[in-house]
Amino acid sequence: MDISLGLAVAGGALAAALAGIGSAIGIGIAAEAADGLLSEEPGKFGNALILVALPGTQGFYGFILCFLIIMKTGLLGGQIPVITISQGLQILGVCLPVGLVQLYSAIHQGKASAAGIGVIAKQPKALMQAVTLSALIETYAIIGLLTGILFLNGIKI
Amino acid sequence: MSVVKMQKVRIIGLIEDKEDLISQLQESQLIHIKDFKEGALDDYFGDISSDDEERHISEEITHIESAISFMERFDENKPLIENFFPPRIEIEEKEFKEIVHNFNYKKIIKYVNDIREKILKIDEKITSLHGDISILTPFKNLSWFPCEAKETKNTKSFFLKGQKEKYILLNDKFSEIDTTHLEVISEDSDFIYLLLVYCKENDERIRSILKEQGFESINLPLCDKLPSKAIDYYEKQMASLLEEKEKLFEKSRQILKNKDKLMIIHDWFLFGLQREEAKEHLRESERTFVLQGWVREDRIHAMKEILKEKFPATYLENIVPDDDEIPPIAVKNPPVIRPFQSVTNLFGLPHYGEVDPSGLVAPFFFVFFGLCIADVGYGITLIALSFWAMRKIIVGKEAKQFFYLFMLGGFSAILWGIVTGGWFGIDAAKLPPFLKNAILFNPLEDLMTFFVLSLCFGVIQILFGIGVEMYEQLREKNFAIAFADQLSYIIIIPGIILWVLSKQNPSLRHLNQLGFLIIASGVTIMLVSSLFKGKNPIWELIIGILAFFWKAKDFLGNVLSYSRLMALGLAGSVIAFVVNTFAVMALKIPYLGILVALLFIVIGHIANIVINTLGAFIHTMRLQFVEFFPYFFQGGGEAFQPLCRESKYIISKN
Repeated sequence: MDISLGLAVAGGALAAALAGIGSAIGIGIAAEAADGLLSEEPGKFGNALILVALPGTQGFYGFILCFLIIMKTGLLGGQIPVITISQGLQILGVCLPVGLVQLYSAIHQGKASAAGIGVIAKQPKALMQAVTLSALIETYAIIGLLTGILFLNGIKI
Repeated sequence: MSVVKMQKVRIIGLIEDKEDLISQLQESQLIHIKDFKEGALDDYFGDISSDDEERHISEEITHIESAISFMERFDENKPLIENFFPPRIEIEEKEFKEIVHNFNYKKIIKYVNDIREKILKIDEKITSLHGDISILTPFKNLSWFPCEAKETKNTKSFFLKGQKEKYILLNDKFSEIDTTHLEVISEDSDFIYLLLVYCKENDERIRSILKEQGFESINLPLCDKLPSKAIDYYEKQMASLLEEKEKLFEKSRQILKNKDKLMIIHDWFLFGLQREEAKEHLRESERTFVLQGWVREDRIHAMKEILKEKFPATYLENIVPDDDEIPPIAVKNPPVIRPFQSVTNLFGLPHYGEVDPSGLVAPFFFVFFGLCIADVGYGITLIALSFWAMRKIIVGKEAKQFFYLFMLGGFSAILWGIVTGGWFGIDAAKLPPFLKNAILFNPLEDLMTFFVLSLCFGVIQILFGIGVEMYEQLREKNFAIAFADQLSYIIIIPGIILWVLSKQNPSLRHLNQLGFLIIASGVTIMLVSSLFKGKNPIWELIIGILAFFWKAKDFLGNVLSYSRLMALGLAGSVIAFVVNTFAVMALKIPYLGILVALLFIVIGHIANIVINTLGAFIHTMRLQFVEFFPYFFQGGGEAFQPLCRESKYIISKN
């Protein structure tokens, strides 16, 4: 495998890895808060689960970009794909902001979700409001992914 | 699609009718009872002295609730779904009354409390036995009775416990003192256990050394038995206690069948409590009482009928609300809009006199929700799941609307799935020709089409929002504002879009001038109508122009926000495609291939449906709340909450 393909692979891997790390941390933060709530009120598991699951989407967004790169470079096909160094660098460049945005937005969404757990502890009816506030952060994860997809679409191989 | 008109009424009745009337009002759910203003009607009516009834009911509720939560611990067959939807009991009025009259809940509560107390006592004993056993365990190899280590005329004996690493130091110090005997009995990972015998004359010195090194003396329980025998004895006791506890558990499981009835009784008391709380808003004279509140204008006739038929001595009059008084909000929508009503309710109810946005949200929500999923298979699954949930899960009316909402969303997902070729993420190239022909664009290939489509929906919804605000301004006869702040935008923005497109796209160049004309006419409308907006036309004009650029920036941001429709739709398609790719790869595994592939497909698609639906719901809702509403809707009205039976566990069937 030559260096140019290596750059593209590194990019995809970074996007998936950073996003996955972010989601893991975010869910961890929210889950800790949820466990605190469940020790008092196990009946709120379903509601808490929704909030805890929210920062999980970033991991998927990173994976989606990684997958699109795999498709673009034809890594899943039988032949070793041939791309130039500049194409490889372009792909790596696209992946960095995507991964970083996923990483940070997932962590902060986890924090917002943890605060949301505090809300449903006192006001069970405010679940969807808490979810909506936490989901505001996800907007930027989505925009990050979109940036990546649009850029990737523009790179000609 | 509108806010219901309210009428404020006052009801005056005889004291002897009070209880029945309140019950009747609770059943008919017609009136939102309000407090009297301070000092109102003081000449005739006084405040009601609070009685013990309310406290008594609250106490009963607490007792029943604690019994129910105790019983829930033994409910081992609790279905998973109850984690998401707390259990509800569907019951007919007749059966409800029958249980309330015949079920001896006090007996059950006493029984539950007895068991609970017994279990608590057993637990206490078990804890103390555990403690004794853990004290004795290090001495279990002792071959003499611990009570033999007692004080004599000249000596003292102790069992000691201390940190292992301190032992050598302790031994050294004691070896300096004559006639002192230190013997190791046992040790575990952290501690060492010793026997110490010494002369009384050294008592003080010995104690200070022990204190210094952190060794403490231990008193063994049951010291007239060998420690190993004592442990056996305690363990036997423990076994019999555990057996007894298990019997109590079994008894608890047997009375579990009474839980439903207890829940029903709980709600009966809850209704009583709600009536008592309602009574606090009443005022009384010697023979009469008075209450006031809001009634929906379309139900006032029903209210009068009830009073005439059952309480002929009661008088109802329409009263004029105070100037600063705002009626509570109820909204009336046709059944097809009601699921979307529950979405707007999450944001807040409209002000009195404001447009109810549910009907306006409905078509957009329907389209966007489906676009975020865009898969025929997922749509069908969603409909099936919602249908199943509606049949099988007992929830209140409010929650049921959400099931309808997801069902409608499923239909929308099917429609979008057909035009985007989404069939459980199967590669569009492999679809049969008649399905292929229905595809308008493939999200995985025509990324730009999808992107532009999402933004177009944004432009449409936001222009629509501005249009609604214009309608509101026109209704309030603020013509200048409607023209300057709304109509001009609705004209200018499409003009700008047309102009930019014609600049970018050579084939549309002939539309360039048209676009410019549209912009120019919009600007003219804005400038001219700004002159009529306020007292200082020049000032209004400057403000108007600045506001235009500010709002144009907002508009751009808001429209771009709709690109999430594309991202979510794409995310779902990609994951579905990946699941299938993996499944196909798994087929190559010898023997188990098909099984693994099936597992991949089932679990993968279900997980994707859950994530996708949650995302579609939340982000579609967000587009309504954050992008659409600010143009015309504020919300924040107080909900119309008539005196009614607000249950915790039961849902009445009728």
